[in-house]
Amino acid sequence: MKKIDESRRRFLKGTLGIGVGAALTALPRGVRAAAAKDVNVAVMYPTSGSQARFGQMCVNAIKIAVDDINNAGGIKALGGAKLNAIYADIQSETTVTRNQAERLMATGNLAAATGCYVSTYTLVATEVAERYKIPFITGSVADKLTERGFKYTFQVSPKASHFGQLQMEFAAKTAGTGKRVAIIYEDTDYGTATSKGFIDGAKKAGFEIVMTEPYTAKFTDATPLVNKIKAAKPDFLFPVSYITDALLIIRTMKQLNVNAGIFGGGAGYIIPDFYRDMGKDGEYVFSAASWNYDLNCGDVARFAAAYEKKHGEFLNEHAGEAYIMMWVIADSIERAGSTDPQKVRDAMAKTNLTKGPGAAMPGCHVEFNEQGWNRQVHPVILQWQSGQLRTVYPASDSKVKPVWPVPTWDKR
Amino acid sequence: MELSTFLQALITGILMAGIYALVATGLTLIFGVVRIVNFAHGEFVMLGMYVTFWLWKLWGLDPYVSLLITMPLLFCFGVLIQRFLFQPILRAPDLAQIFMTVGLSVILMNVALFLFTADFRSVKVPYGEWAWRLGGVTVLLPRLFAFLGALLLAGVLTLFLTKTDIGKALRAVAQDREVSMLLGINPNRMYLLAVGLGAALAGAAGGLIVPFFYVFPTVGVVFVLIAFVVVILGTLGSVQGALLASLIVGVAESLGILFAGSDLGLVVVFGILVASLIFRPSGLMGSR
Repeated sequence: MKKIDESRRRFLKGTLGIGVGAALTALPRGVRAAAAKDVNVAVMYPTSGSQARFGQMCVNAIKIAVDDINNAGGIKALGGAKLNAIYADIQSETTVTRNQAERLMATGNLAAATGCYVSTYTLVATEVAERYKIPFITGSVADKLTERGFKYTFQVSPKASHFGQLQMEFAAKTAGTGKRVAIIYEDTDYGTATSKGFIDGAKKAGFEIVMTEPYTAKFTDATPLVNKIKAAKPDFLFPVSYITDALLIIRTMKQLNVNAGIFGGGAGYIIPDFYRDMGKDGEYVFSAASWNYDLNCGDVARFAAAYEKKHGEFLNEHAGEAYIMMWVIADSIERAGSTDPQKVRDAMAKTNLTKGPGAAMPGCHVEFNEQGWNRQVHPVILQWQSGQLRTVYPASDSKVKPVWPVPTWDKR
Repeated sequence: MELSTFLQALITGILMAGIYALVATGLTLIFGVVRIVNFAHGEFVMLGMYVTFWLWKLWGLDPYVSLLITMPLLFCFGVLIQRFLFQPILRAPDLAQIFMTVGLSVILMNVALFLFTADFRSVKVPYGEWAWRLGGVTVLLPRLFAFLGALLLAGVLTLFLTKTDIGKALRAVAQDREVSMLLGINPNRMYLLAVGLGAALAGAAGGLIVPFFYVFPTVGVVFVLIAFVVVILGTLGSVQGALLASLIVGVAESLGILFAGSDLGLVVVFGILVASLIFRPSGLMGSR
């Protein structure tokens, strides 16, 4: 009896050993790497749900950034430690964002975090980060993000309210004869808030506002709306839209032969899908942006080309920022000489990058003010020219000139 | 306001009515005969749109030609749905039926999301942007085609229901199931036919919409909401009522946008619905 017992114990021990070994080899690479004292950074983007397209582009860019940083020797101050990105899908939902942030920040052993593209989600994630005292760097644009007195939120991008001002300033400078402005916006938070900047900016620039019209983005036909735009006879149209509504409005404008310079409000107007879908009808459409792949700045051209080669489409505004932010994080950890989030935060607050991929925002300079906002940044104006999205304003950031006046539909 | 702006709004409204009618006819037919409110009807339209899209994308088939494939395909799909999902719950309480069709809607939407991703897709056809300019008024041809297609299909359906034996049998089942059984009609077969036809009409709507609209997994929601208003306004179960009501809804939406504001078009539509529920609860074609 005893003998059997013993042999069973040995047998159990053996299987246990094999089991643990198997479990260890089965561990995902990220976790094993983390055990070897690498630097964990949480990367939170929506890669499913309504914003998946945008989130996926950002994650693609971050993967390239992590490879670039690690291939360049990792974090030298930590003996060449590798950056280890922990990806979390926030599913285009605020509650999921909160849960994911809690989960990662409570247990993740993080040096820093980044995300989330959509301001609404970033507002939630940064609240959690503030509580856990983990530095969170973002390219989201909501003014509020860095105006809440938070110590752990850093914003590399221009703020939402700056976009409207710059658009109007640009329109006033290029316009010449045009004076009549129409502002249409989808009637949820996003459109309503952004349109306020447009209305104020238009008044300041001395434009005559001939139409301000909220609309429901869920229409089946843009003709009634475009019919009203036609009747108002604007020289400039400032639409604040999501994506299908934007595409339908522009297509219908062509069909009804409504000619006005179109100044889109970012997002759907400047992703590869826009031109892929609109083809030549997307030509000459302007939009504000917080970044573009042809900026006159550092090695933008290099990493934009690397992305395009790998993914077969150009590096979009937010994905470009996502790439840059990983370098800003790496720079902060380097100077902190530690993975302690508190020390990384203090180093990040003293960021002063003027060269390298980490500085490649418009203005070629990343330096945070005491609120955590990159005070050296400004938005840029882009225009679709021969199928390329080109920066056209301000002149210091651009390689090409804006095409204005825009040819009428029947002359294209 | 210029006359042309008003005329444009009027014409746009009438053309919009064509699409609403197609979606609503299928819905009202299914309800009229089988007595099931099909909350998955928008997803039937979505399936029709995806079938059309892929036929075009993979084999370059013109969306109008592919109606010949889309409609039979959706017909079979409808028959299967009736046989295996609706049939078992025909006598179940309303709540169970609602759960069944809403559940089906959610499943179809998510399967589409899984298979086709959330990308917005569109078909590029040469006539996609054709337009007639008559003075200050523009008629968008793909929308005109869809409108004419809707009229044609509604006409054929009406003829089928009134002139053929099967059509009459279908109506007999709708009127009184027990009596129709006494007359030797097999109601279960008629149910299969009704749901099949309803789904085929939804597929046709999808095919006719594709040349000027985007395809994405939740596209059905956009159309089905209006279709419900149309069906209720035009009396549940009545095909002619659905046609008339879609005309009213289309024009009301378009003029509402012109006169009240672009965010108020649907408010006007639902205003009419509420008014009709108060003053004529059984709808335009109802007895009272």
